[in-house]
Amino acid sequence: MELCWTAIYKDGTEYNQLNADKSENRYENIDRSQLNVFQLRDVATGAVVVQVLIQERQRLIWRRRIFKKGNHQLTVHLVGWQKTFYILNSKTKQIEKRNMQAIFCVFPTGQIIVADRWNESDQLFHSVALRQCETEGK
Amino acid sequence: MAATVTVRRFTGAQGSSDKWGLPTTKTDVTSVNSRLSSSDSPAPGTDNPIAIPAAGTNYSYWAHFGLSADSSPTGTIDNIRWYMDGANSFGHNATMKAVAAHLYVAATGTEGTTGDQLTLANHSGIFAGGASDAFGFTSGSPLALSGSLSNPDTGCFHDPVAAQIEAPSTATPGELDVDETGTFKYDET
Repeated sequence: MELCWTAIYKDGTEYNQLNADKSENRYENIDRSQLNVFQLRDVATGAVVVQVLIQERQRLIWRRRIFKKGNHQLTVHLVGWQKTFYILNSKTKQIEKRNMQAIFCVFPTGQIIVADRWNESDQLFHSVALRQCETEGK
Repeated sequence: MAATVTVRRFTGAQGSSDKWGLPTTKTDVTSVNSRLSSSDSPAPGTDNPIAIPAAGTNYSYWAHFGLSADSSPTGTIDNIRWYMDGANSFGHNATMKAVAAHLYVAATGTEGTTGDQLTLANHSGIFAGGASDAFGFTSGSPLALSGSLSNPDTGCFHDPVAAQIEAPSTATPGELDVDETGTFKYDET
């Protein structure tokens, strides 16, 4: 199953990865200030495979993660959000920054695995290199 | 949709068209077994096997591998990693070392007998930690390769992997038992 994304804005309009003329829009150009829902859809049927609601201060993350082993290639889609918050460390009395995530890994079969954080020793859920549009304050 | 990305083996004299000094010969090895020999040939067949020494260790010529985007991504490719399966099944007491290289350096040695060892002294482009057991780079602990590629660019875009087979005096003659396969992994938007 080949997947493509659709960003649905707060006013209900859609910004699609794929245009009717087969050209492709850039993920980095999604207007995050207006983003309400991000969907991955089956290109062949248009069916929604996974849908992520983006709430206040949650920053959308999406990647194709591609494994090339010889002539075999596996493409999974990582989709979810990251949110930054601050806590007061009671021991040091310092304000500390924390990030929390919710990440879905979607396989070509439609199987979905969910993680609640990046895991650097996990081949699926190791962290992404954040794009400028995904950083705090964007 | 996604960029068309192939796995390339780099051989020959250092080039000057990119920051890694990659050579002009970038052989597509995505769909083939790429044999390491005691020569810098990208496809040596069974010519120039590594001679088993009476003492010490002989080496293949080191080989560089990397990804090449033959079509541009819509956004960016980054977060590149490489790893093996964690178990050396070559047999014949052969081992393999690997390391990331910030600069391509053409392989050297005595053709038909041994390559020069993949050390910082011989290969000035590898990172200071030097080469280590390739099978120590696993899916959970891969080799990170710096670099990225953004639209509309194409071509090679990251630090290549330098790899070398080692044949100690205890090695036994013959073709290696198993074709081992490395995996490249990357993110794309």
